[in-house]
Amino acid sequence: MSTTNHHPPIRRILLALDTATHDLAAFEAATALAAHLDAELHALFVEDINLLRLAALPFARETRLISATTRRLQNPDMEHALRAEATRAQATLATVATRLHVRWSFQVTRGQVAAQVRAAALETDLVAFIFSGGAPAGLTHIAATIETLMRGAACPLLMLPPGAGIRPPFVVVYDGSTASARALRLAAPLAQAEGQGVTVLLVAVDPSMARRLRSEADALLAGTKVTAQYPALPRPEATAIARAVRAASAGTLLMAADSPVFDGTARRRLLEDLECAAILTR
Amino acid sequence: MISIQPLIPEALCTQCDPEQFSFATTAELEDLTQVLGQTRAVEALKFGIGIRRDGYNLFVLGEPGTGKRTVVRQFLDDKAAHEAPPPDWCYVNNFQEAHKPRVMQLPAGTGMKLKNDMEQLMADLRAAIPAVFESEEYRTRRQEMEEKLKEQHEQAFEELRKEAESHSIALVRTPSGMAFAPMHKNEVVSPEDYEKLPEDERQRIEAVIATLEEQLAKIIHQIPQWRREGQRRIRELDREVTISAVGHLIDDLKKEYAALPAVIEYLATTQQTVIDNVDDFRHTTEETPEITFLGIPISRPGGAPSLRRYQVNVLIDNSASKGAPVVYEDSPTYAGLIGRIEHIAQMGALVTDFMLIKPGALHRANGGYLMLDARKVLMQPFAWEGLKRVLSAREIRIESLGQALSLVSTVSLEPEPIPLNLKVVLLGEPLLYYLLSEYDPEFSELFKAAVDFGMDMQRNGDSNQLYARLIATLARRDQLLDLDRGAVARVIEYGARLVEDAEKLSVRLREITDLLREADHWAREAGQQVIGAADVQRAIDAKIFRSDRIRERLQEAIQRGTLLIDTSGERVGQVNGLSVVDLGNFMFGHPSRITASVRLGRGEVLDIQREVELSGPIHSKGVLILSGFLGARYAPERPLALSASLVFEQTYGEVEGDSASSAELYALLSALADAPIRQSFAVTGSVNQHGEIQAIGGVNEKIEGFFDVCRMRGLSGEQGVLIPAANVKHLMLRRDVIEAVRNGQFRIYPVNTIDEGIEILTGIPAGVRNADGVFPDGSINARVEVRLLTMSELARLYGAPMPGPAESEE
Repeated sequence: MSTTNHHPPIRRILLALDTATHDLAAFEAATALAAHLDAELHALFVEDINLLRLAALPFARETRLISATTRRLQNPDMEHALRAEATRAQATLATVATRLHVRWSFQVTRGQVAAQVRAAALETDLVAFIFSGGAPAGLTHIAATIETLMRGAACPLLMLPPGAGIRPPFVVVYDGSTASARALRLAAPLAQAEGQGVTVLLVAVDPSMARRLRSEADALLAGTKVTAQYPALPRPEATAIARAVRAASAGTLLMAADSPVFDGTARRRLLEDLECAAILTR
Repeated sequence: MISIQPLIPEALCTQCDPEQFSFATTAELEDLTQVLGQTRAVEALKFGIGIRRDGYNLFVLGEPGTGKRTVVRQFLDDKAAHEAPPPDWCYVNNFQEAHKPRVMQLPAGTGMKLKNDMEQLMADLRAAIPAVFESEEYRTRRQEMEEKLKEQHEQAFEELRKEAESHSIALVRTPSGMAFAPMHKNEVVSPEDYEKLPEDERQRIEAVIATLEEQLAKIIHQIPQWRREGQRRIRELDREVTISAVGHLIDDLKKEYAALPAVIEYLATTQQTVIDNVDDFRHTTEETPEITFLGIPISRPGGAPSLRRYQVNVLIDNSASKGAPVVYEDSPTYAGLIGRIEHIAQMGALVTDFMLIKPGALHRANGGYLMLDARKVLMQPFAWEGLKRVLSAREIRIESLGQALSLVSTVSLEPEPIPLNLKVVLLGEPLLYYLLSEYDPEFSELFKAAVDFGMDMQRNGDSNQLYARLIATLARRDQLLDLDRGAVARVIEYGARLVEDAEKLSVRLREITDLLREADHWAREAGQQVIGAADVQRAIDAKIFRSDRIRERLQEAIQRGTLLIDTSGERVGQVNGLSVVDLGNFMFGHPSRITASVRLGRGEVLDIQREVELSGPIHSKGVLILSGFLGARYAPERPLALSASLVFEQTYGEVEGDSASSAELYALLSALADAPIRQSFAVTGSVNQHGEIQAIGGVNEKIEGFFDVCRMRGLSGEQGVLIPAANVKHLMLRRDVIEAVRNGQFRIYPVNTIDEGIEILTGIPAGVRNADGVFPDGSINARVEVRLLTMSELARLYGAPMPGPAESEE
């Protein structure tokens, strides 16, 4: 593991797309981040092999969430639906990337979503996920993929729920780890570009640790023109942090992907409830 | 022969002797506080203002310039100052029916307080409500509810997923829904592998999936119910939180307005509406910017429209009033009187609300007095009808003309009417009053108090003193120089001349004030410190000079012989009549030649003016009287076999009035009697069927008109004017005329009868019937009677049947 506070430069962003309908704001956010970092944006649309297999089964039926009615699933229909979604996503990306002058590419692949994204993530510096709304988020393959990547991937992750964008207020969860230091270092230029400060949530078990973390955070921000706020956290717990994030009306949350404060359930819960963009650093 | 003496110079003008005044200049005189010459009007005014009954509104009638507005205003101000200020009136939103704004009557000064309190309340609510919704407690409770709902969802799906998983079946998200698929090693079983499964296994899987799908459908069906239930609980929470934020703020206000039930009710309704519409307060931290398109505003600026409904429109604020209001509305349009509902453009449409209700003069004067010019009210479309409607209904109901006339049916406001409690004072000319009384049946019901301002006052020693004080007051009010006593006397004479009556004085203050201003101008120009009689005279002369271009032209035409007027010699059937030209602010008299010719006829006196429709009805009446006079005096028992023609020579406009009827009769008698009339005289006066001369108007101008012509040609001492004796008291002649009379160069004869006049004009006795009923030989009357008898006889002969040819043969 690298011990530097500086994140390796992000030159290539992988935008992972699944079969759900995608939100324009999320495309805008991923592309804007690429523009900000002067990075290339590579979109990967995975045609989920499980869906194609499902549609080929003789009894396959789909239950609509709006009406609870069922319809017979056909393989050609499913393929057509996946192609249509890919075409829509590509067109949207082309429009946004051209406008923001971002180099981009679009790839359609077929297979297990998690495996495909994991494989593509090896050649990239940041993985961005766009996931659609609607219940229940945990059932989508992207969610499963995120969990997988959070556990194993080496690169940072960007999660874009519906309507989210890279915008202030920027809230950083700082626990003293290298990854959280990188989160703070990443937040500083983003906030500066917007002429805003950052809110730093210090994950400290006692006052002395809080003081230490704060001085570290101040040191990390030294040399930037970014001001920081350090709201008091009643407890160094996931629920308190989640509440503080909501209280700050965070526009973008930055935190370590594997912060020890969050156990698997709490982190997953925080991310599922997210209404803003989140950048998970390593 | 009747002996009529010409008037002595002293009778020609009742001059004002400056020596009767003890002051040197008007600086020594006190201001006049009483109203001169308007006793009746003042009494009527006091009555009209004092009586508090429906319909006793006032109509103040009087000619322009009589000072009626000043007097009325002074009385109203005095009365209003001792009355309590009226209440404030506010319009507030009607939360049940927004298009029917509610009106609130509040003690004077309370309206603005309520408005400010409501604005403060809104400001407090805008801060308190978002704060309470952002509080940790609210967030926690709401989050708990949302999490509970979410957990409910997820638990259902999770249980279903686990149920499926226990059968090695996965719940898969598809592009537009969910589906179940058999799984093997975390992957959906491929169709080929599925086909390889035993038949009973496939049947089991399909049966399980069918069951799972039913359960999924149930869950999906339940989601809206769970969501509704969750939302209901959140609404209850919101309501509870809102009440906690709003309640104490409004309760504080309720305590302040505890004595005003209308406000208490309004606050209660406001509280309920705030609670029902709490979202309006949760998102109003930033004001909405005004949206414009091509520079034209298309949205309403100034904050969220939804919060406007809580504002208070203080229509009438009497916080600074010391007494009842006295309002004079100079532009009494319909909207200016009744009030109006304004509209603003928003997104291309015109919209309005209760805040755009604007008061009219009736609102501003409510509880007091409203002064209006009757003519202006009548000239403004529908203003008179609107005013009457308000006075009849005793309430002010604001509605646009479009609504009132049912011309538009778009949704607009119907504000609650405001009870009316005021007196309307209309000011106008007498003619307007008489016309309205005659033709408008509602007028007499609504304006029962008539205040009649006269144009003149009695002239005597006491009134001269008061008039002097009036002059002093007017001069001081206009910051003019003081007048010496001679100037005052001259102004008083001018006041008498204005009303054409030596025994009266004008109370048309406007004209007196104008004279004083102009005299002041001339005095200052001459570098004087005090206005003297010469300055007043100069002002009078200058005013006449500025206005008498037409008179000069007429006199020039007479002098050059274009208009034929004789001022010497004698002519049969020709007399100088006198007429007056009124130029509005200037009147002058001039002579006109009247001629008469007679011949045998059927008893008619033909007025050529009348035949060509250049005669007014009064003039025609005067001419017809002549026939009556001739028939009654000279031929009571015979047909009048006369045909006479009368004409105003060289007149090209309409002749009106009967002041020339005596002149016409003199010309007629001259023609009948063949007696020449002295052309050195001019005549004015109307005549009745008994031959009595009656008073006429404009006597001074007529005399001066003939005098000016005579003076131009040279005063011979033979020239003069015959005027009705009844007009002697009206004489206020110019100084130069009086001087000419004093010097024996000009004479003015007051005559009572035609007989007196004809004797002066012809120098022949008129003659009175003796005991046998016969006029003396050679008298005018005898000559006329003989002529008429002769004509009658001739007419009888001409009227007898002519002998036929057979008879002549016999």
